[in-house]
Amino acid sequence: MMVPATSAAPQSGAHDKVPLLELEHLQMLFPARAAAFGGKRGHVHAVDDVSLALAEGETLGLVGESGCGKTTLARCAVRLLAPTAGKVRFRGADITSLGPRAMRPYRKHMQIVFQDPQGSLNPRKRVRQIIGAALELSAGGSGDDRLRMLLDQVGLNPEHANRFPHEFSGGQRQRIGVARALAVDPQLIVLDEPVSALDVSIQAQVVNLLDDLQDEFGLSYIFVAHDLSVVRHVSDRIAVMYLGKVVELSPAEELYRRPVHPYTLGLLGSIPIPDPVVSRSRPRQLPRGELPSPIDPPAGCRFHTRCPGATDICREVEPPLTLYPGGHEAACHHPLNVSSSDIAGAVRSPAASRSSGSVVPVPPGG
Amino acid sequence: MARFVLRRLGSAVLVLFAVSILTFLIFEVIPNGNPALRLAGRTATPANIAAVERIYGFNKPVYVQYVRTMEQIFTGKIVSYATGVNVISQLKQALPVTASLVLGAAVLWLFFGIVLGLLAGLHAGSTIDTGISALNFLGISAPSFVIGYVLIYVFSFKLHVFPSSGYVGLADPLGWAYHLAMPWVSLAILYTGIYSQVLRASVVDTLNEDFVRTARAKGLSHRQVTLHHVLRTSLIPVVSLSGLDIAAVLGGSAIIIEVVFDLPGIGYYASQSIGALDVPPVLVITLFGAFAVVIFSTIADVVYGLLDPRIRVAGSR
Amino acid sequence: MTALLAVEHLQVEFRTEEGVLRAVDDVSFELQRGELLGIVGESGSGKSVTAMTIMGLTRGPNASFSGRAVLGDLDLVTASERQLERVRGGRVAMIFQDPMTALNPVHRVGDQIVEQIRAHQSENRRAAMDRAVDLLDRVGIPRAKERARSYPHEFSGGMRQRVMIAMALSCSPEILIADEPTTALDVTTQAQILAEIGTLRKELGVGVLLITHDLGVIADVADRVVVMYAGQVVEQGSLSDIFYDPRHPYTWGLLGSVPRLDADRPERLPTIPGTPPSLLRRPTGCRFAPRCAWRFEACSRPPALKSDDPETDEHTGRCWLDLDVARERRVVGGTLGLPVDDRTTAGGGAANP
Repeated sequence: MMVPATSAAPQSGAHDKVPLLELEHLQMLFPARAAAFGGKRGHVHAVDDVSLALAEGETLGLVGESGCGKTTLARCAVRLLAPTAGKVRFRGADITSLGPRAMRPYRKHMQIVFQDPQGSLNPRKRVRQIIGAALELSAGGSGDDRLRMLLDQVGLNPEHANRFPHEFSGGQRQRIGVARALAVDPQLIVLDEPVSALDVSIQAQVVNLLDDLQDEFGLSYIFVAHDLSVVRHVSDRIAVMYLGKVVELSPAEELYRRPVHPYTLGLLGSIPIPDPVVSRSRPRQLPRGELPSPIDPPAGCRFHTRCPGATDICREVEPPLTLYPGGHEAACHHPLNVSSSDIAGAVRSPAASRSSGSVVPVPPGG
Repeated sequence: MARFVLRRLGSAVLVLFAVSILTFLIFEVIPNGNPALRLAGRTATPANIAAVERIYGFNKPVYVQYVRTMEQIFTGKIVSYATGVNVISQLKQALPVTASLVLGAAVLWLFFGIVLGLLAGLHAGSTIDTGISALNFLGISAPSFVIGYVLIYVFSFKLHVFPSSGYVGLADPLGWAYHLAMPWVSLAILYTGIYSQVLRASVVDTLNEDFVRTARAKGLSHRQVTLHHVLRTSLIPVVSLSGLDIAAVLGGSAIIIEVVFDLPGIGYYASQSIGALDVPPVLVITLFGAFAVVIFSTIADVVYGLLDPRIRVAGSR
Repeated sequence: MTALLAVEHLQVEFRTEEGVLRAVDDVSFELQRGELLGIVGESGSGKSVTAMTIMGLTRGPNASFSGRAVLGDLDLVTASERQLERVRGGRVAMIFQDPMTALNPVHRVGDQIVEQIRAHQSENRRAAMDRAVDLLDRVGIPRAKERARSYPHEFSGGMRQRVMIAMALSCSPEILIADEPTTALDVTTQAQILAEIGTLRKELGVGVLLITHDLGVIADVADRVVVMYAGQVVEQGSLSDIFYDPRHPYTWGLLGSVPRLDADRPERLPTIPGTPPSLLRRPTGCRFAPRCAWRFEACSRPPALKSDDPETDEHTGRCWLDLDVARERRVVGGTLGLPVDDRTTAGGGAANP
């Protein structure tokens, strides 16, 4: 279960335990220049004031379309990137601005698995060397037994150790990537679209494997995905991002049953269902038009340019992330699927962006 | 665009400054580099030498000498220590010769490099490709003076069709081309080999691009696909390469060819000056070479931008 | 009714250093006027090679072909290069998976469309450009006149795919082949592009061959479906045949392993164990047998593609199981699927090239 980073946990069961990872008002800007021959300069607002926390053993799904900042956020979380502003805490220790040397003890605890299993493995190294290099960093020793055990744990054979990455299929290469991450006995693994490049039947195999490994080793995952289909099966909580902001954050199943933000509803509606009758008859509300530029994001609610229900307030005031009873959070002036009692009990989430307004939604007509 | 060019010219000033200091210092530290010894003549007394040193300022600290020399270069007053002739006027005489040599050869090597490279790339793996590659490596590895002497032997001494040496000004275009034909070929053979190999690799890469498949799926003829899509895109690396190469040859890299064919160009002048440890011409030629490199690489980058719209707008996501 | 396109016993082989790779093996199907036929399969199933062969884009010194792909009175497999040039982009147009790389980065998008129009019709540049602008406008590109002068990198992925569609439609083709047209796009964009293809099909009456790995996409837009596995057609039928009465265990597995947002979340995602076979060393019997929980003795011999009743039934499957047995076995835990003996399945099989 996850709590908003800065809160004293208003929901049930206060957590006296420190979360594994906390992100506080994290911001990441990249300089962007419009033209090579000297154009106007600006910043890509890749991640813009996001607060999240991850508990031990929990999986947080991070979902959004390209350009929403999910990958940047995940990379900041394991400090592959140094955020422009905000804090990253691992087990309560501030690791936001540690240099490479000071980061080293933390690196063992946090690993990352990339989307493209082809590109992230050195093509000139055998599997034995790829995983062996990681094993040397671990406390568990670097012997052949450990290697064999790791390969077995990810569903590969011992004889695979002497092969090169290109001799494997995409799914098997992704297993090698997972074995490499596991080799250092991490607590946290960031999975950056780990199955997006794989065939459907192989996707399911890898997702099930990740599930098993989590149970076996008590791992925490941040699972980055571009749509809401696969994350459902692995996540305890899901954060939906849009243009650098978290727009909705909810326990996993709740998000599918009761999406509050119109963008989440749009994402759900755009995923086809492999059943012609169901898929063609369901009502769909798809986001209109195109993603605005992250260099110059829209004022007010960033989604208002594509939202079917946008009104004046959406164009002027950035909606705060609002915490509804039950722990569902969403940043929308006109929330869907909430009762008037939900709205009565709603408070501004402690994880809300600093730039967002203070007005929480009011019941329709009230 | 204008800002980009200005920035490049700004950096050129820095490059020229660094190159001049480096060249100056090299002559300061090589043994027997004291020009006063030679200026004073064979039978000079120490007093003569000291006098020369005083007149020319060789007894002053290095940086004073440097500043003085630079001043003379940029006012056009610099004279050779070996001959006493004005260096700038010498350079002005040598430049048309070298420019004729380089530009003519560049036309040849670009034409043949592109034709051969395109042929080899389009037929990668075939006998055509293997044959062209073999020729290329022959051209790249054969020293240009060998090629030059072979040409002279065959076409001048045996067949008597081309003159073995000399330069005729552009006032007589036929004579100009007649005298330069063999130097052009000798110089172009090396670069034809290089350019053909570079373009071949680029063509092979481009052929695998999705947009080439799209071009074929559109129903374009083989010719249209090849010229408009494959060649157009593959030429991009060749353009940036040719900027640097033309500049380098212009700045004196054609020494060997000029010596072989007795062409009084910049390379020839440079080789003589270096042999005489004559600092002023070497310094001027080096600066000129560096300047040429900066100018031509800037031109190449501008052309590159025109050929590839992607680099005109960076940071598109 | 004569089919718009009839692919008959198509076979495509490539000579490689490791041996002869049979990418497409005895594939037959028909595409009717105005119909949207989905070809579904995973990587290595031969679906893309089939499409590219129809376009004559797989020809090369190492490729060999047999069978036919008949368009009107022309067999595209044996047609001359000159004949193919007229067909490509004229009668049959194609859009590709990755719109980011499918357009030439150094030419303006308007010019790229004009180039295609002028390759097929004798129209002057200005008239062709006017047509290109109309087309861009029609596929939903705002300020089309202005945008025609932009370069591909100045468009988003979705917009580039719209440009590709505009280009494909520029010469009023009879057939549009869309090879994974939405795989590289975001989900919301995918929905927009699929809707666009659907609309154009209705308005223009083109036959569409939609190649995809995603059964969800098929469910949304297709009329009929061809399921391919390891170079062969393993099942073929109407949309409801494939989704509600699938005959081949591979189809069951495929349907089962797509995560469904409309159903409860299962404890474990259903999968198909193992990996597809190498096309260099195909199993001698049923190609799917090594991954099939229901294999039995018969599966060591290659099954034929057959229907229950050839007279009335256009639904065919390539499986030895009797239809009533199949109907019983295809349900796992209340939904369609293939039973799996858990997680030991992954590493096993031969690594794919």
